[in-house]
Amino acid sequence: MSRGVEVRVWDVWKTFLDRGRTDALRGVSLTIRRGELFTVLGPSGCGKTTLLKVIAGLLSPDKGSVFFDDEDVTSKPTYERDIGMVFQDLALFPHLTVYKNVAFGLEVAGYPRDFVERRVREVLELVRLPFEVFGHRKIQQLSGGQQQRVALARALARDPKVLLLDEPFSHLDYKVRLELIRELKRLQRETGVTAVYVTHDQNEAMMLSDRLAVMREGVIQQVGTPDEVYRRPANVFVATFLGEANIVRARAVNGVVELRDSRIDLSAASERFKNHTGGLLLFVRPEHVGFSPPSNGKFISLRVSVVDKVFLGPLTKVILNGSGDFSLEALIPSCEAQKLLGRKEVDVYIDLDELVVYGEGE
Amino acid sequence: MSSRNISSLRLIATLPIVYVTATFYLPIVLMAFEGLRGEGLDSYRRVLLNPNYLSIIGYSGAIALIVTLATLLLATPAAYFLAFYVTSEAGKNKLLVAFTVPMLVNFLLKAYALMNIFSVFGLANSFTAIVLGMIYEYLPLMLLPVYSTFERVERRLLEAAETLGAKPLQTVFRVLLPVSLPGILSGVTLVFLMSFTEFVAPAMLGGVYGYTVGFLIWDLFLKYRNWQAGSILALVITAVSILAVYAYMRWGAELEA
Repeated sequence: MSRGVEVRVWDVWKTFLDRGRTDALRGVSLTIRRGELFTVLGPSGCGKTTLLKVIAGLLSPDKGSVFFDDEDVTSKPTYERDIGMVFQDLALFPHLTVYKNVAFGLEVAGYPRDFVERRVREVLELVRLPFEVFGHRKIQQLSGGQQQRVALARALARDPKVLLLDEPFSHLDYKVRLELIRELKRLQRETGVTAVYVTHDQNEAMMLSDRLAVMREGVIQQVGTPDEVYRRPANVFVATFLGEANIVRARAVNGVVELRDSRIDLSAASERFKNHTGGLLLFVRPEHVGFSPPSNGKFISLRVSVVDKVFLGPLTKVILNGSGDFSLEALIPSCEAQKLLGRKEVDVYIDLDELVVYGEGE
Repeated sequence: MSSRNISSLRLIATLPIVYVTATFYLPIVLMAFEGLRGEGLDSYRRVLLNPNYLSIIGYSGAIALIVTLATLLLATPAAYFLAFYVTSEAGKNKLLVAFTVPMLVNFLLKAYALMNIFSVFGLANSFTAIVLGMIYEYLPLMLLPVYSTFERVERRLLEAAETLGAKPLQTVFRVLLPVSLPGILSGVTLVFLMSFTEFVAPAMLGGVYGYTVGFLIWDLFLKYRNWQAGSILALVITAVSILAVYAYMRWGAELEA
């Protein structure tokens, strides 16, 4: 039943005359597939909300186009775009009841009353706010999570082509947020709507997305599945923004890096750097720094000293130092961390499959 | 702070209250007693049921209603334009000043000028002249509260309506105006009350059509020396005004909540 469309953003530029604003777009191109839950992730001021507003038609780009399937909607006003949007501050209508809020889009479209009522009941059911209990409540009488659901229901009521969400859960507590994220995922699957979700929270992005785009200063840094982007970040910014990262500055000579007593042959980790001479950056996630050799046999080992341990519950973060040349963090199960007790020097093993190399300034 | 300072502060705070009581509330009480003289409450009944007075009150009410509606219809689009289409802060301020500066000139002068202008068009001493004069006088009074409410309306609400498929006019009627109701009501209350008791415009512009409640009370006091009837009418009008403001405040507070 879904009317979800493919959303294509093509070379969109947007600058603001207001000098204080940093949320410009500088040549953004993206294809969001039909029925996909797509996240745009980035720090505040990176332009992600601007991008969402351009897709919604609330802002018009200085240059570039927006397509819904093959239709160029760039100059179409928002109210003709057939979208649903959930705003960061929800923007529920304070003068209307829950029922009337959800019915709004259907009423302005001129649907007959009984159809509107049937549909509103259906959508309220979908977001688990039964009409009998909540229909006639005022918005102010609802909890934050319930208001969130009303906002979702309102956006979905007309079965839009695209659902746009602007950090909708950012002001809720962690638990409610998790619940709503699961809910949103379920709703999106059930309705098959194309959804674009904007957030600065990497955990949300990874939990939710089919695919995600990482954005910085108005430029898309990388697009991919959460797994791809997490394991193979396109650059140091993405590596450090998404999850935790060890970045070690090193020098290569003819594709070989000497790090303390270990030699890393870059041809194993990266085609690009196999004959490289000069500075570069080595990236590895803390969970891939281990205290026993990985089973694939492709690893390097380094002798390091244990500086500190941070207990995180199931996991423990171990802070390591390679005699001032570099520092590393390892994330290991807490039960294994027990074994490190009292040891000053240890060997750590880095899986070469999980090592990513960047040139300087990448 | 010493107790002497506190007591002098208290004195300063008390002075306005004393002043308002002496010049506003005390006369009201005096008028109430004036009305009771002789036949007691019966005199109230007699005055208020006097068909001549009633028709004059009705006539004033009709004028006030027309003026209120006209200013509302004129001020709302202007306020909308100012709030949503004038993007620069400087531009807004200039236009607001342009709208409100005429308010700073005493209406007696403006009415005199209007009288001459209207006579050029053969409108002098007509019902139309009264209404036009009062619309001119009270337009800013309607514009300011409506505009400031529009300014305060959360822009996101209007954007949300737009994303839900509401065309610009639907957004205005289904979201902007309902949400702005408190501000609109304050403009309506203000303009209605002021124009109901208006005296200058009917007197100077209306000729024989200018016989409104204000005029009637003036005549009762100063021409017919019928202080009792004058007091009763003045008292009733004041009471109605206070009630209207009170009702507006109650309702407005409820709407805001």
